[in-house]
Amino acid sequence: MKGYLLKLAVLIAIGAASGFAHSLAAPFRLEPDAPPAQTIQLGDAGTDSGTDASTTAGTESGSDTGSATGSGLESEQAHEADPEPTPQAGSEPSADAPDAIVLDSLEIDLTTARLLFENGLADFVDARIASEFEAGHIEGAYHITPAMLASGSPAAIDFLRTDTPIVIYCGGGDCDDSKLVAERLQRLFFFEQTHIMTDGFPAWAEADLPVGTGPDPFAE
Amino acid sequence: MPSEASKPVSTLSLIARILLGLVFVIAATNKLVDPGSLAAAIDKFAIPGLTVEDAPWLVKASAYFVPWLELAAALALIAGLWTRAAATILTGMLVAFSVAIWSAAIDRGLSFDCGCFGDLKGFCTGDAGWCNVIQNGVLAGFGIIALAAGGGRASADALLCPDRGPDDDAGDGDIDFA
Repeated sequence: MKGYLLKLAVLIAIGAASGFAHSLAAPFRLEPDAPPAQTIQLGDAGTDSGTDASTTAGTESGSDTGSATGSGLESEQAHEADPEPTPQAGSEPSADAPDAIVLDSLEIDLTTARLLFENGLADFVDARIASEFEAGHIEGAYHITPAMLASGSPAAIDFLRTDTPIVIYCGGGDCDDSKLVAERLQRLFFFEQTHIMTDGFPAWAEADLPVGTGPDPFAE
Repeated sequence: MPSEASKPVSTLSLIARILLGLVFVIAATNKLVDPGSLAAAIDKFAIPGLTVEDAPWLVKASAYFVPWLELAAALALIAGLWTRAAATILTGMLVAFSVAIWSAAIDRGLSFDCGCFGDLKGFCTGDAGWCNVIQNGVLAGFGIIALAAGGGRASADALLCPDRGPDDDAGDGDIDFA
């Protein structure tokens, strides 16, 4: 019995030692950094919804869409433009037709995500597994999961704009996949303006906002 | 003891060892590729004390430790080295995983992908649930066979120490420490 327990202990020790060495060699973080705060002024673009190609899925909505943010919009650091930033970005309801969207935290709510979507001011990333993405996703969202970023560089990365907020979401609630994707986009691909829509896709669908279905066009 | 095991029992143990071991090697290597995703998967079970909110360090430690333990035990089982100890670990893990899946997905009704095979799907393709519990039950059956029969004739235990019967201090039919 003593020898049996010793063998158990040795196997467990091998697992623990290997795991510890692995953690030193390839550490990971669960929490992304807070992105730089910014205020996006809504000019005429506020009523010009759906004109940005970034809100449509497909390979044609490529890097040229970055120019869409230039018309009627100005981005600047929040500490310069907004002396009283809101506790969480986008607490104002969209019905009030705000003049600006304040992005001063990692997490954003459904209202802010909707404003960004309707004005074509952000790229959306769905971090859920393929079957969930196929069943329904925010219209025009790219499909990028933590596993895809761990095993290489997904093709959709090339279509994310570097000068535009990226809104990442998963299933809402306790889901951590969006945080992992945000952290990896920051660390591995140097995207700074990554935000997480904490309400997740269920809230988006429940609000009857535009939804797309079908497989990831970049899936191999 | 391996040297005394009957041929059918040895063959059955060999099949059980290889099947269970291969499943765990595949599961472990897929998890090892991306410990971060495994941490997220562990968090989805919402086990009190083992969530990112409660103890992020423990979630991270588990994400590194569990697949390496799976791999070490699975390779030992396939080789037939310390067969009963390795089978105990894998069977115990299967029981623990099943309890966690039952608690989270069935009892509490949470909807999530179990992450049992990392990014791969096993026999169960949907959300975690009864399918995973049954799958684990079948695999645990293989573990119990290996546990009961020991390594059998075709094992490192038998090859390295074929006539150690009376010296089997551990009484587990496996190679003992010198």
